[in-house]
Amino acid sequence: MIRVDRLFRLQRPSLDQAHQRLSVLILLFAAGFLVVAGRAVDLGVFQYAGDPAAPVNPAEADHRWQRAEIVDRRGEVLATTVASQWLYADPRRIQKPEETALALAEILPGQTAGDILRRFRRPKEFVWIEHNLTPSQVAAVNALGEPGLNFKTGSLRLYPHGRLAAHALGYTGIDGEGLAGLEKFFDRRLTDPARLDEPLRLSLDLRVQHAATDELALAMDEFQAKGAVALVMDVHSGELLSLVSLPDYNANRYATATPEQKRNRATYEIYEQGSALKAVTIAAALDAGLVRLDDRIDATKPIRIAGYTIHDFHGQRRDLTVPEVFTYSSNIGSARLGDTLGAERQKRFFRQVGLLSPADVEVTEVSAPRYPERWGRIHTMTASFGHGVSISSVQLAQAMAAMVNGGRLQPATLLADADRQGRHRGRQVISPETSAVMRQLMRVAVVKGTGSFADVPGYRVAGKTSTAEKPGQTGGYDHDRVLSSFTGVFPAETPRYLVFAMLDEPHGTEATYQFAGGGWVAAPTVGKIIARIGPLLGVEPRPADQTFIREAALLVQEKD
Amino acid sequence: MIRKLLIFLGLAVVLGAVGGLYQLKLMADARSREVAALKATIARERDAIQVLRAEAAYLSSPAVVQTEASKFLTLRKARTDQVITNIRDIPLRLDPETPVDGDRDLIRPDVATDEAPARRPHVPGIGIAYQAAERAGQPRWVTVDKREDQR
Repeated sequence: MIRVDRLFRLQRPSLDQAHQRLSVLILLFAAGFLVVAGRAVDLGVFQYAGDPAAPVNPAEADHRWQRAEIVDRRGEVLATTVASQWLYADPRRIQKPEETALALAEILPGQTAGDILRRFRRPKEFVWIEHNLTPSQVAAVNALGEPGLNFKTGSLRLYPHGRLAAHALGYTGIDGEGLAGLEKFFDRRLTDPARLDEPLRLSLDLRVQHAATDELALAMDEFQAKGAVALVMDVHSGELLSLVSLPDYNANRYATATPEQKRNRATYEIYEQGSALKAVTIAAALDAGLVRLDDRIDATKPIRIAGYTIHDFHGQRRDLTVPEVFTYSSNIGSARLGDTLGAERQKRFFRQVGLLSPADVEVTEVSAPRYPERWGRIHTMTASFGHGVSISSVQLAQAMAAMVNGGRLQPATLLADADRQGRHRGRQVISPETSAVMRQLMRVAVVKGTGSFADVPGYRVAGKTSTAEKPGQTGGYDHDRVLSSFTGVFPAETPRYLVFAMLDEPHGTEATYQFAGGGWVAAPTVGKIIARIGPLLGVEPRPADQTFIREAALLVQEKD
Repeated sequence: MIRKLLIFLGLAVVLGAVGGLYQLKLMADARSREVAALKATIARERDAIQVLRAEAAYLSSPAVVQTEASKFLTLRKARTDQVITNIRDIPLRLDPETPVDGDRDLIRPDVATDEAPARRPHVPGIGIAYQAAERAGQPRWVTVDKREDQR
């Protein structure tokens, strides 16, 4: 065996030195590896930041948006957001542009082959073809087998009930922005990330909304009206159980709706509402103690003032008691009561019951009322029977509810109780005693007066008809174009719900002897709505209580 | 000897730790992929649920139900005299346990077929009404003419 040290004649000290150097090197390497190992553990265990390979599909993330659901008071879905397929093309990969364009035009209504072909010819890698395809359209596009066509997932706001409550709900654009109605009013609330899982609960009741829409559409059709409004309101809370405006539109296809269809006639359109305001005038006069029920009011002949003449339609040509003024809807009598009240007091009362300020209802399409700036004697007289002051139907409904609910003005709302968070607080506008008298007057108007067609056996309807001639093109009023409405409440003794129906420019039929007044066209509609919703709302049918109206009824002398 | 053994032991420990750590890392990766897949599935399911909710809402929309009902059923709008306001007005059945045999009569004769479901749905409300009526002090057995009852 050859010893290395002998071979190289190495000295022992130098061997020791080599050993020492080697140890230092080993230590250094060991320390280095320790650092690496430590770092690996640190990265893998302590600083683990999730799997970088988690599938984040940019196409999915790009076009999805979130929006809270809207449900009715019973939790039925009124608006929800679903995933939808958006079709795009990569023009470079389209194999047969002409053929594909023709086939696509067939699948996608509203697109022309020429238009699609132009997009295929663009020097781009990406062109949108169509958003929100239906499942059957997706299947048809896939069946084409064209590699240049592809889908991205987007979001789509869906209104399962289509036309129902379209005006209240409004609609949402393709990028998830509220564009009308509640969707716009509550845009921030509905897109609030913290409240996405919490549906916005409305006061609307889908079943009531449908019943009102159904009956109103039938009436509008029967009387060939230009438009129509129906409201159902809880008289105590101001909650709207239904808000119908006709003609309507399918909220899922708002883009194809005409302005006429989109117009919210219940909140946006303001009208001279006519005789319903007699209730307000009489309530103001009674509440101020200016008249008593049995006072006689001179209605023997028309009033001539400032070039105008105030007539009665159902002229009695005699002195009338207050219940008679109301029951026979005497313009002359109301004008005299308004005159007694005086311009200042009337204006103040109108303001109190919300007739002079826009309705505080949760849609964006709300109009301010229109009323004379200088409120003279003539204005006081005409305003007493609802002319010269233009208000929305919702304003009228909330004022009429205050007349019968014990005297509290409860602003109309579309939100269910829990969601309101004290947004609205009612205020007392007339005394409970005056309100009790108003209930009687309105019941007598149905039992003995113009509103008889609104009565429903068992539900004791009370209310007031309105037939307002519309302002003509050339000034003055047009006898042929009227606004006919009925404001009903039930049950009469302790009203719970107000039902309002209005037809814009109805035409009489043979069945109504060509009459188109509120008592002929709107009152029966309200009656039909009440007959349908009464059982749904749990109002107990009971025989009418005649003693309840005795005080007012005795003061009404039957017509000859 | 002992030194060599120590070195081997140290090496084995280090290798074992590295191997174990790597295995752990792989497992963690697999788990996180599983989690991601589950999350994607949940998202898909949620989307599907939303679609089904919308579909259910559409199918139970009053307008849709009314159209279908007028096509296939003899049901008409309820009249106020059909609303019973007192529990005593509910006619009692001889045998409250037997399911109600009324469904066939509701289908319009011109659209009725014999392919109706063999099992009639049980109407749970009747039993409850019966018990309530009994508590309200009605005699237990009331003879009700069957035709009168079905009308």
